[in-house]
Order: sequence, then structure tokens, then C-alpha cells
Amino acid sequence: MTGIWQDFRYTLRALAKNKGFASVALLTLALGMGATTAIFSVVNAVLLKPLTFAQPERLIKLEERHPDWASPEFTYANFADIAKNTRTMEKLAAYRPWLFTLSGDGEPENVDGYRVSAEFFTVLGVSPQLGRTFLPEENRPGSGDVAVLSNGLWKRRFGSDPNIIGKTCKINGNPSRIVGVMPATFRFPEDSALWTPLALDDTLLTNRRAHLYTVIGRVKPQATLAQARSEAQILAKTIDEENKGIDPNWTAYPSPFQERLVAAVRLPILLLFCAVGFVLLITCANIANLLLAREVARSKEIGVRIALGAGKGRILGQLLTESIVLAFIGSGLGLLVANFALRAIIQLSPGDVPRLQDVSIDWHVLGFTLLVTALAGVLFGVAPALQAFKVDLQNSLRESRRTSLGAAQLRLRSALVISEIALALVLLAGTGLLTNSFVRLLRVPLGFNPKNVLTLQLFLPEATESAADTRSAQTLSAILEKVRTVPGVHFASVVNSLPIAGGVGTDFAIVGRPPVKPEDEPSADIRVIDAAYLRTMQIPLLRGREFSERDSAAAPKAMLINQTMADKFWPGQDPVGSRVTMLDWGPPLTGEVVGLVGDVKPNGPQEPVGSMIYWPYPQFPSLFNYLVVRTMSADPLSVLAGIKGQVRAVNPEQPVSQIRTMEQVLGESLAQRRFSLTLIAIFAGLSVLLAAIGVAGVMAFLVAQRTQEMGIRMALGAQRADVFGLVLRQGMRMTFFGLLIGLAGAFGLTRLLAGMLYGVKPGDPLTFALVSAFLIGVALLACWLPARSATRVDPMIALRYE
Amino acid sequence: MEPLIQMRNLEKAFEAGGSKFFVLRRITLDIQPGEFVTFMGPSGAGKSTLLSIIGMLDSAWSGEYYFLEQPVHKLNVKKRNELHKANIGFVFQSYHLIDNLTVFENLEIPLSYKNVPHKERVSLVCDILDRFNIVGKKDLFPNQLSGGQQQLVGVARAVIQNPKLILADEPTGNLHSAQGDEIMQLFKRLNDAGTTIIQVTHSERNAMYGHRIIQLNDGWVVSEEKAAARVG
Repeated sequence: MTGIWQDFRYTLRALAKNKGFASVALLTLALGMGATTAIFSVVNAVLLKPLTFAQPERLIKLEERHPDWASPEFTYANFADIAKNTRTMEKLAAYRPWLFTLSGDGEPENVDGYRVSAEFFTVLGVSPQLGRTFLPEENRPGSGDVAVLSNGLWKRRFGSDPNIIGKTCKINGNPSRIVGVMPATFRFPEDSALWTPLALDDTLLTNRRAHLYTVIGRVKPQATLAQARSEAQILAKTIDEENKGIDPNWTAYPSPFQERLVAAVRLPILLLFCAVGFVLLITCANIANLLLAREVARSKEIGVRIALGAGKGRILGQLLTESIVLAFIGSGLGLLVANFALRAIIQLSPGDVPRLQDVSIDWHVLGFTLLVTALAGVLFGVAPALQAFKVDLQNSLRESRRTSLGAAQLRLRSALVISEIALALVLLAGTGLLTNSFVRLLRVPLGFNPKNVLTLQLFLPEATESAADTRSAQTLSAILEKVRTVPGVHFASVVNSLPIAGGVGTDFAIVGRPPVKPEDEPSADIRVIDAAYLRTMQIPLLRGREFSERDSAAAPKAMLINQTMADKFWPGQDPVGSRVTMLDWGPPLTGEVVGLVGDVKPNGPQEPVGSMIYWPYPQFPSLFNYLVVRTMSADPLSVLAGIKGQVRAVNPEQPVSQIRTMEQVLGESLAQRRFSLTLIAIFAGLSVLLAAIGVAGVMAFLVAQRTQEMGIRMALGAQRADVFGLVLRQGMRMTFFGLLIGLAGAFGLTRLLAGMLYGVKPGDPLTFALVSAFLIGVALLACWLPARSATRVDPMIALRYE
Repeated sequence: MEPLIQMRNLEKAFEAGGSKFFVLRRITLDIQPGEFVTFMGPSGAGKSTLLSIIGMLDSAWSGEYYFLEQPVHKLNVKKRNELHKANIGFVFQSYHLIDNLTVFENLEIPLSYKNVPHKERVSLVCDILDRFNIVGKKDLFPNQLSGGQQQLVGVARAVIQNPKLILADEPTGNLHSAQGDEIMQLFKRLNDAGTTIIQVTHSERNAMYGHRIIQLNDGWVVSEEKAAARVG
């Protein structure tokens, strides 16, 4: 124990004395450990930490699965049947996102919220801070409008009024009674400010085609997930058979809730964790290299200690104590780096990473950091410690100014640098592939022109879900008319979902063609637009006509279809004049194809284009609408004030929300990729920097070792260029070995990225060639300084240097 | 009395390019307890190598070597280390004090390697500081001492564990003559007190402090004579 304490004190003293070594080593460790701690904090908060709900391990998400369709949302009727008949799940709840307009007291505003079934809060096991949650009878329309507020909304809009329960506020134009306020710790779904009951009318209660609801539940304590899965399959089959032909071959599949909640971000986060692991390994290799370099200077000390009776265990113990102390100080600094890094990560994050806001350096993270620190300390300390035993005692104790640990140490140091280069290349290759994908995505033809377009969400408060309210169409017409008069506005239109931002879809049938089996019915995305939309978004009309004023609610139903749909269902024919029936939204709705338009990316640049049907908004009104405005100015926001004024002129209580330029919308659709790419690029940059330091360090060591040789060579007639080339060749030999190993690793490991790539394959030769060339360039630079110093060796001094 | 050291046909060689290069050849010698022996000879004669083998820092040799009647050539590494730790102290030409440690800590080091308890270590260090008259230097680092003072600490460090044998490799090589004499007087006193001393030196003057001079050349023992005879 005394020995360890002594070693500890000596280590601190040695670090204080050797400031150059200490600062380089600690800075390197702080960066490596800081990055590792920060990313593990994210892994911990997002993937590992149990959900804050009661008995989270029993919470499940129940998804509908279809053979040819990825959407996991349930229809209400299917949900209700399973909830009624299940024996393995004690409660099930359904919910869907909704936009609410708050008006009355204060500025009208839109807030994101959810419409939930009465069991929603019970399933999650949460109680309100004030009042109550919903009663089963409130699930039906007409039972009185009620709402539960989030803690944030209660504080912000209602000034934390302790007597809020029972008061009414205007929600979507209707007076609603506030029955509860949730505690601040309850944020689910994360963006929710408000919850109201589902309050479904009979149309949706019995609909088995409109997949709108997310379903969560709880497995009974005495049941297992496997039992719940078997039962859900049987129940789904029974429902399918009882409702033959409506939505065939679907099944229900319960999964652990937490697993599903983070499913979309699991791969990118784990890849980041791997990337930071590589950075940590490179850090360890670099520190090992620094320790080895220091060992040359310490070979005498180690020799003396052995001569004074120190056994191998004691020397090993001392050197490992030194490396572990170094690791712990570096980790301490790393925690500061991690703290900054976490703030940066939250800032950079796209906002849809679940639970990222809860990220912190807690006891789990500290425990992980302690463990990794100890392991890293041993990892980078063990090679130099073992190398210390190879000290030639006679040489090290002899009177000589030149100390050398010889070829074995040089081999070890070169091996460390080769591994650093290999690891850096793998990270660079991953970064290269993601960058390549990102650039390709930015160049994807979107089918419309996103420049100079302002978008605003308009949710019409007086609309109701069940009625195709003609008032909403009238309001939209009035708003459009006014907005078009705003100076600087070139075109103004409405659409129910912005291009590239996703939307709703439907199965359809082509009139006059033989009926197909329900499971073979084709589907298409739906956009509801006004007559000027194609011109506003600059989507080309390829055939037929655009919508016009004559496509009113009373006129024959008209639709436009996109090129992909025409190619697929009318190959080599003109689809104009054909009739198509939309099957999923209430009673079947048939319209005539009046025109054919160019393809537009519906769900982000990376998603393929499918069939698309456009309806004129008077014939198929939508509750959720976006105003899209093409401006004359390059700054679309310059017309915002004018537009808001005109919207208020039509309806003073009409809020506008989600004000973004179309280019921002495009940016948000790539935000997740940009986030992963930015972090991986930072780690790759860090790894290249560390590898370059490693190369430079080893080459400087080599030059110092061979000073006399250089002197002899120059005395024998070698030119400076010869010496320069000698050093450079040695450095580049190491680099090429590293590149070869790294390329082999990258070919294997970049396959894990396949799901995140676009338009480029994991082993893309061009990307690999470019990153290899970049790394060679960096290595050349890293060799340049030591090579230059080798050329400045004075032969006379070098030859006296013994 | 049995010799402290007995060597019989001890040889050390390197293999290089298919040939064998001998550093030491057929060394046969006895050193009695309480002797003060000097190894002399030109550079490359094998003096320091022989000293390292005697000090058990080098194990790559052949032949027989008995230390305190124990067959070193048959002992494993652990037992050799035990024998070395218990009986041998080293003094080096360039002192080899550990830069980061104070004088006190440098003196403590060999004791800590022998697992001497802390209290006893402190007591032994205080005692040796007093004996060598360097109490005032105990908190100084090596670079704050003169060469002579550093070598004084080096000798004190060798002596602190009360070894039977002190091996000194050019102990005054980096000192001016007055400091060198001081150190040699110290060795003489230690030897008079019963410690066996083997030194390597080029200095005839230092050799005169000992009893016996062994000349080496090209790895061979070429002559042995009493120091007194050389004076004569």
C-alpha cells in the first residue's frame, strides 16, 4: 500500500516537472475521454436508462404489421377489439398527434398535443399534479370538451394558476374545461403541450382502414411478452377473418415500448459509440507512444531501480500506477470536455432524438467513465511497462549521453502508429461515405423549386374532423386571396402536407379495371392543393390541365396524378380521363384524372417516389394546411409580417405556426443525417489529428535515434534531399501499412453503415481512394517537420554526440 | 574462510553474423570477504561487464559463479534477485540518483524494494543521513547538489541496506580530485568496517585504496597483483 502511495506521489511530481509531456498527454486524454463520456451519456440517456414510468419493463407498443406496408399505426376498430379481448395485456391506450389552437385569453397560438384514449395516463402509470385525467365516457363526442395541460403550458400560458381546474379556455374554437395538469416530470410524447380525449364519432370508431393511432399497453404481471405476442397474433387473425377483405393479412405485434421508442435512433447512436471507441483506442495508442518516448529518457532510472533491487512486479506496478494516474487526471479534464460536448450535441441535435433532453453525466456515466479510465490506463500503460523490462541494464547504467531502447521499441511504436492510421482510416472512410451520401442527397432532384418559398401552418379552429366543412374551404380561399395581395408575394397556395415532409396515403382502385384482391390494392400518397399550387412550387404539368376555379365542391371530382403513377398503371397510355376511386377515407371517393404532373419527393430526398394523387381542396377539405408562398425577394421571411396581417384580417383568432422557409424544411428532413455526419466527422477529424501527432512523434523519435547515422551519411556525401527522403520514406512505409490494414477494416466495418447511405455502396472505391489520399497527405505533413530537422543535422556535432 | 565470490571458467559472448564474439573469457577468480578489489584495464576489456555479472544484473553467461557459497549459475531469476537485494549495493560513475526524488526518497528506494516497514525505513534513512553528514540536504533534489554531494548520496544509498558487497563502477570518474579522494576515503572506511568492495577504475590513485588489482584485457584476466606491490 505504501508502495502504491509512493508511486502515486512520484507520478504527480513527475507530471508537474515534465510539463510538456503532461500537457500533451492530458490534452489528448481529455479529448478522447471527453468524447467517450459525452457519447456514452447519450447512449445512457437515450438507449439504456429505463423509462421514468412505473414498471417500465411491462410497457409495450402494439403495432399493426402488414406484408407490404411499413406503417405501424392501428385503426381504432382493430385497437378496440384487441383491447376488449386481450387476456395477457391489462390495459391498452391509443393516441394520435393533433394540433390545437388556443385562443380567448392572450394571443391565439397553435400548440402540439395529442388526442388520447381515456386509459392513456393509466397505462403509463402517471397521476396528474392537479385535478384528474380523462374518464372513459369522455372518449365519446358530445360528452363535453375537456383537456389536460402539460406542466410547461400551465406555467407559460396560465401563469401556474393553482385554481386552473374547472376553468375553461378556447381550444380549436370550442370552450374546453381544464380537468388536469400533469407534473413537470411527465413529458410524453415529448413535444406534447396538451391532451384531449379521442372523442371519436361512429365513422372512425368502426373504421378498419384509417391507420391513425399509436397503441401502447402493459403486459399483465403474470404474463410474458412472448405470450402477449402469441395472443396478439391470434386476436388479429380472428379480427381479420371477421372482417374479411377490408384490410387483409395484417397482424398485431407487441414489442418492449422502450425498444420501439428509440428504434429509429439506435443504429446512428451505436455507430457514434463505435466511432468514439475508435477515437479512444487511437488516444490510448498515442499516450502509449508518448510514454514509450519518455521511457527512453527514463531507461536509466528504470535501470537504477532494478540495480537497487526493484522486482519486475514493482516496476510494472509503478509504471501502471503512473499510466492509471495519468488516465484519471485526463478523465477528470475529460468530464469538463464532455460537459461542453453534451451541450453542443443537444444544440446540434435534430430535435427528434427521444429523451436526448434528459442527457446528463449521472452516476451510471461516471461509473462507466471510471471503468473505461482504468482500462485505458492499463491499456496504454502495459506496452511501455513491458518494454521497460527490455532495458539493457549495462547500457543504461553506463556513462553515455545517448540512451536507446533500440529496434524493439521502435517496432512497438511503429506498430502503435500503424494501428492509429488504420483506425483513423476506418473512421475517415465512414465519414467519407456519409458525406458522399449527404452531398448526393443535396443534389437529388426534388421535383419542385424550394428557393424563395415561405411555408406557414394553418390549422382552422372551427373545423371538425368528421365533417367535410365547406367553411374551411371558404376560409382558405379568403386567406389566399388576401395573401396574394401582399407586396413581394409572387404566388400563394395551400397544401395539406409539404413536399418532402411526409403525409397521408390511401389505397385506390382504377374504375373499369378488374377488381383486385384487397391485399393487392395499390396505394398512393395524397396531397390536397389549390389551383395555383403547381405554379407556386414550380412543379411541371406534363399533360392535361391544372385545377381551376371550376373544380369547386359541387363540381365533378377531379384529380391530378404524378408521372410515377401514370407509368405504373397506364404504361404507354394517356391517363387523362381515367377515373380513380380513393378507398380509405370514409366512403369511397371517385374522381377523374384531369392532368399529369412531374414527380415530387414526398418523404424526404432519400425516399423513392411512389404514386401520388392531388385533390383540389374544395372537393376534399383538410384540417391541417400549409400556406406556401413564393416570394419575389431572395429572403422569403421578408413578407411574413404582411402575410400574418392578412391572415388576421380574415380571422383575428387564426394563428399561424411552424413558419419556415422551404429550404429550412429541406434542411430539417436531413437534420438527423447532418447530426450523425457532423459528430462522426468531428471524431474522424480528431482521430486524424491524433494519428498525425503519432506519426510526427515516432518520426521525431526516429530522427533523434539516428542523428549520428545522419551525420555519418552527410559526412560521406549525402545531400539534404537524400536525408529528407530517407526520413520521409520511413514515415510513409508506416503510413501505407496502416492504410492497408485500415482499408481491410473499412471494407468490413462500413457495411454497418449501409442503412445510412444513399446512392453509394459501403465499399465505394472512389470514397476509399479519396480518404486514403487525404490521410497520405496528412502523414506527409506529419513527417515533414522531423524530416526537415534531420536535414539540419550538423555532421560535426552529430559525430561528437556520444 | 570461504570466499565471498568464486568464479570458475566464466564466459560471456555475443553471436553476430554467424560468429561468436567473446566479452569475457575463462574468468576464474576468488574474492574473500572484506577484500577491496580493483578491476583495471583498457576500454572494452570487460571490466564493467564482469561487475554487472557479479552484481547479478546480467544473467547471459556461462561457467560457474558462487556468491556466499550459493551457485548463482543455477539460481532462477527470483532467487538471484533475492540474493542481489540482500547483499549487494551499487555505486555508479554518474551517480544515477533518480531525478524526481529528493535525497531522502532516493535513500529510501532500496529499502522499499526490500519491503522494509515505513517506520524502520525512516529511521534507517535518518541514521545514514546523519552518518554521511547530509541531513541538511535531505529535501533537495539531485540537480540541486554538486557532483561530489550526489556521489556521496549514491554511496549512502548503496550502504543503507548494509550490503556485504559494494560494486562501484568508476565512482570518481565525474568528480574532481579532491571530491574523488573524499569518496575513496569513504570506501576505505567502509571496507575497514568489513564491507567487501569491488571497483572499476582507470585511476591508479584510486586503485591504491584497495588490496588487490585485477587487470583485464580483451575479456581475459591478464594479471593480478597486490596494490601495495604496485606502490613498491
